[in-house]
Amino acid sequence: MADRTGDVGARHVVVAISGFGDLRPVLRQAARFAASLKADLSALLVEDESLHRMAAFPFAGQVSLATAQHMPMQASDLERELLAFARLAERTMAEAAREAGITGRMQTIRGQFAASVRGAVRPGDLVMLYAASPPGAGGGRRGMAEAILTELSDCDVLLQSFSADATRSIAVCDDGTEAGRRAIETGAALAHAFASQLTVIDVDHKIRDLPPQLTPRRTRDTDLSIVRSVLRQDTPSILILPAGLAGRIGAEPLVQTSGCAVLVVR
Amino acid sequence: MTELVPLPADEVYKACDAAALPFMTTAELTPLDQPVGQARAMAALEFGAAMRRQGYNLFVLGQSGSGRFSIISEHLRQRAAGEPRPQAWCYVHNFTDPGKPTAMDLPPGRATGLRKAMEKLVQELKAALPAAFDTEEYRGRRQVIDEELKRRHDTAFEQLGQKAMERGVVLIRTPLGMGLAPVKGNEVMPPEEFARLPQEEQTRLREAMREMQEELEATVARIPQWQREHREAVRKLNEEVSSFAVRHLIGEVRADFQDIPKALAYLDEVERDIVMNTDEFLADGQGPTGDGTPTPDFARDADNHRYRRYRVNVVMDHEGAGAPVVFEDHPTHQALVGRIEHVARFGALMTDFNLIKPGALHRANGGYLLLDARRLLQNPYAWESLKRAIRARQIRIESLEQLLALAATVSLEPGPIPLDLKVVLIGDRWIYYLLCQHDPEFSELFKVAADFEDDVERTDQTTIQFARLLATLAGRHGLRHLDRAAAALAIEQAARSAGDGGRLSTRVRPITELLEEADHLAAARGSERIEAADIRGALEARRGRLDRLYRRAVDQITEGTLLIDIAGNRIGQVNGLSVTSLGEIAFGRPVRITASVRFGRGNVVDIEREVELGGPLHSKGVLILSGFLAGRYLPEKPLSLSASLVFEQSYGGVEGDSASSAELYALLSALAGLPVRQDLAVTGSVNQHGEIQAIGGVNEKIEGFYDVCRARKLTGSQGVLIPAANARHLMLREDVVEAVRAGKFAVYPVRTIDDGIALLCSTPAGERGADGVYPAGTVNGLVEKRIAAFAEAAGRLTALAKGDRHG
Repeated sequence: MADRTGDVGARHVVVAISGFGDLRPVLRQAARFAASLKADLSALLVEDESLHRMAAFPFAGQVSLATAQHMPMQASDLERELLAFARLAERTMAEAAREAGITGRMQTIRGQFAASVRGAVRPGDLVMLYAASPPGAGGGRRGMAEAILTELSDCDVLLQSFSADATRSIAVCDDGTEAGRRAIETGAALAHAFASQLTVIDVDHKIRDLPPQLTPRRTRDTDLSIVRSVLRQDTPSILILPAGLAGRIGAEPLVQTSGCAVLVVR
Repeated sequence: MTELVPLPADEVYKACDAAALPFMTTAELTPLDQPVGQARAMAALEFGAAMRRQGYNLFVLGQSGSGRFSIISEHLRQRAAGEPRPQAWCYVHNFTDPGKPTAMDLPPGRATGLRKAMEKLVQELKAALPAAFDTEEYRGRRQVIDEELKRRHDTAFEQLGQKAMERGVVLIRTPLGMGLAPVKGNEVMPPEEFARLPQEEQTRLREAMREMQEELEATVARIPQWQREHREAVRKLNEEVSSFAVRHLIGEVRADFQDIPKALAYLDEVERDIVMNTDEFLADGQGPTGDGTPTPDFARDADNHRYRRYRVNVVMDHEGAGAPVVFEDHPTHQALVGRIEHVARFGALMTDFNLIKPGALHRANGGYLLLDARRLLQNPYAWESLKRAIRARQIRIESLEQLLALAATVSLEPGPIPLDLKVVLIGDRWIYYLLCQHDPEFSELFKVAADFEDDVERTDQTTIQFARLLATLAGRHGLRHLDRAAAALAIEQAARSAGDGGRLSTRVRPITELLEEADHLAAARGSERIEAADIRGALEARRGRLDRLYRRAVDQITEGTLLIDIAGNRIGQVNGLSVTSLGEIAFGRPVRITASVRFGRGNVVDIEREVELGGPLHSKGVLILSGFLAGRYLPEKPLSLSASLVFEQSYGGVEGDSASSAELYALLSALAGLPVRQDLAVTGSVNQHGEIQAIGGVNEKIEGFYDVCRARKLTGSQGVLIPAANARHLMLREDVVEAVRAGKFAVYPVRTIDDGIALLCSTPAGERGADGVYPAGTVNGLVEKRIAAFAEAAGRLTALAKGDRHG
């Protein structure tokens, strides 16, 4: 296997953001991620159309998270707030890109999250999904990430769970497929860039060659339960799964239960 | 009346007999351990240094160049070496009130150790604390805490979301908070569709939204409490982790300072503060609460700035053995009491206890502080600050702005440091007397005066001591030693410097300079020791470098620009002698003094005084002449003459009364009509009884007239009349002595005006006979006759005036 550490194919990283909140950790992490893969970064800020529908009600209002007070909300108020948030996100994006030494741009789209993401990405992109809203918000949105994952069949998708040490340790599952090979390459690149610990889980008994500077821990099992076991014992920051394996395990539930980020590689 | 006899050569120069000196070169002599002739001053110094009571500070008086500083500093250094090292002092952060840094004393030598220990501790904590927080255990426990907060959030909002959905309402995140809207399927119901719903359904949904809003408000209101609890849990965890790491490291420092309770108390405070502020040690913001993003430069600078509070600012930890002896060369207010410096940060001037800089009082605390009194008094507020510190027995660092209430900006108020030291002021006598007179506190605070003699009596013992001083100076300054002829010449020069053949100057600086210059000449000759020729050469070279104006004056006299007769006789004209001091050199030169007399109202007009060129002492001398004339001649009648006296071709001020005898001789000559010898010059003051009194600068005056005579022609009759009391002061230049020895020049010691006038006019002065009359033809007889004539004329005029009034 050729040494492609730090160069797993120049790609475009798209971080798709839904909802509101502090975007600094998200965008900084995305920028570092893109820099490690030698890719450009685009941020896609999706303004959910549900908001506009809600604001169109004559009795629309919102409860402030800062004061717990109810405030009436009109469509014009919402527009101003969305504009201010978009500008703030844009500044944050520029700052994160500058720090990481990459080029980055911000795009704001109004519409449904899944449809907007589908429309904005190109084949071969690595898409990072980030929904900032609390779990209760949006009601039936659970499963949305899984749906997007299914639809973006020609993109790698990272289901995010951002934390302070998001690149501390990386685990890769290799199922012996081409996607498994790319998963290992991607994992190696990230581990090299972030000086992270790399664990390779061989689920097909095939031991691939790895770049000489990487000395990963390796475990072998055809039983998928070992993946869950590894996650329980020593949760990695990022788990990289080939698409087929991700489909068998269920990537979105894995994110919600383990707390780690899951990168699904095609 | 006695006939004047010139002084023999051996009386115009008190030579030092080189052959009698008990050494061949000064190398054989033991260096001095005590200064020459300063027993009284040294006793005062010893007393003042030993006396430990309040106010027994010293003021050392004496001429500059007397070597006072070297003597005192050497004496104090020897004394201080046997005294205990003082406590060390440092400033540390005041964790309760950072604006008032804490002054802490430690045993000698330990403050520096504490400073190094704290620097090491901070460096180790920078590594140890991040490491303590970078463990799986910490991350795991922290994750549990974070997840608890997340769980609370998620559970609360999920339950709220589910409940809302059950009631047909959806919870939506907005930029500022959370909103509620009717739902259709998984999406927000379009408003127009809502409008088409039956009224009851609309009402139900709105009621559901209102209730859900209340619940949402209640849920959001609980968030701050959850966050507080989360923070508290994180804080406890962090404290637990950091305490473990800090306790171990700070324990090592504690072990080193186990014997110093103050240091242990300080370390307790440090430990508490570090544990409370662990985040500051977690580099680049990668702490337990950091987001892993790099820290900008300014923030890193701020990090370094924060560690400053754990530093130890040692303001005094005397390194040498014994007590310190400090000389502050530039005694400003700040140089004495210390200062608080500031640094510019982000456009503002900031300071902390690390920027407290010690002053001379800190450095000398527990020992001795030497200060130059003149420099101290020249620096604004330095004297007041020094007195305040001595009086209060503590050093309080205050800027002048604070002291004068000129600035109201917030600054530091460092805790005062107890002061226990001996201050030694070194200054001229006039400064001492001025301070005594005008500053009531001075006598309270400087109770011991050590008065250094300017010169000592010249005896066999002091001569040998002086030779040892030469040996000491040669050794101290790395100069060649002197052979005994050179030593003898140097001793004679010391007598000349004292202006008295019977005394020796104790001013060390001129002697040192003479030896250095003579050493330079000896080196040029390739000699291993300084010989008499080197001393002589050095003296001549120095005079040659400085006497341009003197030579110019002699030339002007020789050329006739300045009118001075050195031969012949003139009525009412006398060669007086003046001395001019120009820096390091003083020289004498003859001045023509003339007198004219006429009938008048009995006043002697001093032209110099009239034009304000005469000083008060000079004027006093002239007024004495009137008293002399009135008292000696026709005392029963009013003095009816007018006389005027002039220093011819004198365009500068005249001060002193040393020319008063010359003026009187000129007056007597004018009154008697007798010419005065111009080959003689005169110096000396006179009192009302006609006695000649001693004056200063006698050597320079004689040499000045000699140089003029030599420049024109030495006739053998030329000479100088000096007060007999000045004869002991004579230390004339070598060539003048030789001229005296050869009979080419004479020095006459004069006791009375009568002795002098007889020599000058070559006419007996005359004594009043039994008939009360001065003999005819004598000077006094002629003077009294002239004055009587004036009195008679005055009587005639008075009678005439009365006749006019009665007729």
